Amino acid sequence: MSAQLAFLAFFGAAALWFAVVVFRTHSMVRSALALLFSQTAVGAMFLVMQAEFLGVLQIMMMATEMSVMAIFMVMFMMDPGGLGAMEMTHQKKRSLWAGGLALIAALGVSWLGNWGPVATQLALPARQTELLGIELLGRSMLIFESAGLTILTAMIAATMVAITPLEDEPKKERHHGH
Amino acid sequence: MIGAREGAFTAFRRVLARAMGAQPRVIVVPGRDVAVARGLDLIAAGLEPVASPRHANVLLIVGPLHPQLADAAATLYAQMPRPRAIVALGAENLTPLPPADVVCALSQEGLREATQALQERFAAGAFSETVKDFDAPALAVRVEYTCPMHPEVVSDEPGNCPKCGMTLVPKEAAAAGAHDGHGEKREHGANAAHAGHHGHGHQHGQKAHGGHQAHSGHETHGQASEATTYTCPMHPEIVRNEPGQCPICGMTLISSDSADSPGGHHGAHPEMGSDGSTGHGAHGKMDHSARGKMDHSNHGGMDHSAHSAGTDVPGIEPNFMSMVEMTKDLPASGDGLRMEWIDVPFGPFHPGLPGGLTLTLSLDGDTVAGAGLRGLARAAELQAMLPATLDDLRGALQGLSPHNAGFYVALLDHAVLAALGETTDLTVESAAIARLRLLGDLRWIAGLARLKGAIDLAARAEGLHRSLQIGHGEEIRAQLAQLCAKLQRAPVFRPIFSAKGGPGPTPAERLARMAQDIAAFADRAPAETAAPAHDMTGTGEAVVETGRGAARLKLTIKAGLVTDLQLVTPSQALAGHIAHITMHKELGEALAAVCLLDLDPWEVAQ
Amino acid sequence: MSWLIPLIALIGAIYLLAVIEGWSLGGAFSLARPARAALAMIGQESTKTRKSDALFYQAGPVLLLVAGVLAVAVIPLAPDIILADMATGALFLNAALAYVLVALIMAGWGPNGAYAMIGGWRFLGQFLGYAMLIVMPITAVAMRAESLMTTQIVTSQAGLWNVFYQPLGFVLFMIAAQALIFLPPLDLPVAPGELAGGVEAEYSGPQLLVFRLARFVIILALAGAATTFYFGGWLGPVLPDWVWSGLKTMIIAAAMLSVGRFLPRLREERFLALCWKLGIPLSLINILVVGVLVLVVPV
Repeated sequence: MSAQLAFLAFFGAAALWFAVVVFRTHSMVRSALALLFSQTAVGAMFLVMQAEFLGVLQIMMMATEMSVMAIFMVMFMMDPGGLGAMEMTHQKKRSLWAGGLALIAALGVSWLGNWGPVATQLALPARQTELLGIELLGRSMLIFESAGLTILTAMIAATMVAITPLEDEPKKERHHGH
Repeated sequence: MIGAREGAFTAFRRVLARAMGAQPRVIVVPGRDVAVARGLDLIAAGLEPVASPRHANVLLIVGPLHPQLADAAATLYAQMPRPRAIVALGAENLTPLPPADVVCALSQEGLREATQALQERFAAGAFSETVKDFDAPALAVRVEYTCPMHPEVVSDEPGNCPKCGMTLVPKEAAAAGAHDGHGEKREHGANAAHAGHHGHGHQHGQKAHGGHQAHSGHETHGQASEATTYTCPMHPEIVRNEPGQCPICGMTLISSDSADSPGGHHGAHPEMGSDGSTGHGAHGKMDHSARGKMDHSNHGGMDHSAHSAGTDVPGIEPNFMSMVEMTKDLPASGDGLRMEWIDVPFGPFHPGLPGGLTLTLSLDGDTVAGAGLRGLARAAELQAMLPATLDDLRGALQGLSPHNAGFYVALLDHAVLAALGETTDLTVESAAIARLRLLGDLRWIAGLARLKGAIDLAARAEGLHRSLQIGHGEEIRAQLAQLCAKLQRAPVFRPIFSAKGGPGPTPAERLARMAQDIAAFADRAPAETAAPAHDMTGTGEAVVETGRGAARLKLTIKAGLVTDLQLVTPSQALAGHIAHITMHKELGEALAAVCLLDLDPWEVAQ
Repeated sequence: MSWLIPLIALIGAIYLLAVIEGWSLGGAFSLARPARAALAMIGQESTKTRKSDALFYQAGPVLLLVAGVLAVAVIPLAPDIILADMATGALFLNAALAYVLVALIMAGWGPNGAYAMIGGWRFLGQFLGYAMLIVMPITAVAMRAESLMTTQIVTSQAGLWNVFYQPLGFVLFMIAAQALIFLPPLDLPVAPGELAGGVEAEYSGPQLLVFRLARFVIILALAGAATTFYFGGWLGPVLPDWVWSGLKTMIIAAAMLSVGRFLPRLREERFLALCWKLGIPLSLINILVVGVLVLVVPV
């Protein structure tokens, strides 16, 4: 049990450290990959907590998602290598406030929420996976399907916006919004 | 060994050294295609050719090192990890490279001897306590300081940008005239390129501004006079008659004519200065066709319709550098995204291109946005040696190009024949020419196959080339026909050999000609040379159809001396199409398009 | 000691694969060749490029190796010779191999060279093509086995190997596997003719050795996965079970190594178009067909 706790603490610290690196580095690619490894560390925490399927899924999904994000950052940001020491931040005050409030909210939920009794007996990993599948295809099916559909719609819409042809590009729009 | 690695020669390192020598990994200068043309079989000699200098431990020079390739070869050598050795086959003067560790004759025999000798050299001296660093003028790096926003601002000392006040960032620039062998280590590196490269595109954008009359009209909108105006580097719509601060971002306004100063470009990209003609031509073209329209709509919109809202997004600090603002003048890609471009040199020792050819591609992602080409232009050297005797000229033509020397000599022979008045038909057609063409075709196929990674096809074409070269061509006629038929029919190769509409013969036409040649060629051609009288006088012209088009030679001979000659080779004309045929293509496809042209670097101008 | 036997088997298999690769590229069959090449690389300098992102540059090959070893860990050589018999083995294989992408992006970005960088990002494009094609056939395999556990997937094929039960899935999986380990004709990130080695181009000496080693480990992981998922793993008559799975794995790996020799490189956009327009619909059909078979035909 103590070894489990030590590992949990280690991966938790790693997740936090990588999360800090995300904002500390000037390099866009480093930033994206630091976020990746932060998420991987969260996945490792799942594994330590014996939620095997969730952990493996988290580790797998984040690798690909963050890599895709990295290429977008390289594509759209100037100086993606961070060698030019350019200032890329804006709306600092607002973001500080927003971040602080979100942190308080998250802490509040985790402290005040009713998490139920602590599980003493864990189902075997295979059984967990099975239960998760039944949950996904039962009670939570509607939520997941509508979320999936929404994301798909958003992706198609984003692509449509991005590939506006040059000729009939609205003149004003190009200077706003980004 | 001069390229030894520093360290004591321990027992373990002796084992390592022996392993290195037993299986040398070579990088070939000028290229594997030249080795093939010279009749060398690297794999049969026990060498392992590799694509990157980082993976090699032997620099193999086949044939005399052309002076224009010397600097690039030095860079290539510097990129190799130590212990490293140099093998020179038929090459004498290697400066600025260190003297060769092994010197042998330029033949398969020589290559075998060299492999043996290499084994001994590595075993005896791969490690050494005293090692001298290799240095050459081509390797010198000059650090210059440039503004991330204003690439035209280049300074030798650190400081602030006079236009926007940002701290200048150091950037490595190659010493003037240095061309990186593999290119990627220099200022073209990813990170550096990204910092500087935005600038590159930006600069081109500004060029378009400067050159475009209608455009400068926009910039000085509402100011009928031609007096110096001041504008903000970030907000071109801000135009004032006197210096001051930009009301939007607070930057110091700069005078409009200094904004378009082209000087910075040459400073930032010393390499581009020399071959700028092609590169700029390409960009200029694009600016006008693809972008011209957009420029106008863009600026029109900014000037006339409530642009002041452009940066006044509520809540954003006034001096925030908006991505949209900063990238709006960058040249746009075909898909409308403004990404940063990088200039990447391919060559002169690139594994997928003819050895000696330097192709510089401006890459927009992995799409080509511009291309420049540099060859060795040996044909021009001929003019310098006039007047010359026929024998001297023949010698010079033989050494002109490892690929096409046979054609040149045939041209000379037939031009002399024509001068003697013996033939009237200009175009030379014979079994010997058909054989020369076949050799060229096989190298062309092997080159394309290497580029595309079809190793089996490359090995097969090279094997047939060797047989044909040593005079066993008639025995392999059936195999040649089989190869040709396979390339014409096999669906996997169709994407490569189905290119249409390019300059010169299409690949399909070339394969059809190849099929005819396979039926027509002969190993030993009847002697067609006439012994010219020593005091002959006359004018002769001959045309030879090479695989890529017609080569033409016109001679004026006075009293046995050639006083004037005009050599027109197909590569010269084809090279002009490079920018056009690579534009907007994916990188691999663009390289294949260049490879399909089958340019002879020895013919292409610089 | 349960980890020792798989480890020895892994090292032996890597060496054998290296011999096969040398044979297929160089022409001569030589047992000493890989050993010599490895020793030569150990003896060489590790070059560093200017302004490289040193952390990424160093970490890239190592991460590639780690990803490969983790993937191998869930491949059973025999019912009891497996490093980690996880309940989510088939998914874990995917998770580990997803880091091939991360490693290549790091290795491509790190050296600060254009060829390497283009190679790294090219692999991301390639990934978008193969990603679905590797997951969806495995889904169909897991459907039949009613488990993600690799050992159970093998035992589910006792009646009929999956290669016959779901041949469509097998073909799609092998194409995706070829793309995942960037072997020709899908070697876009390294592309020796186009990018002079691409992602690999700047590595030399011991780092290059790690890179090459990692590549072999991943080839073995994929060939082992193909054996486990489609060729009934250790199942086979007469010979001991570990011989069967070893033999099958080696044959598949050798085929993966040598097929690219005869084919020109596929362009990225063509590959992407093929994967999305043809591959994804086919793998959905595969899932449907297998689903129906599982319910209707008991094999």
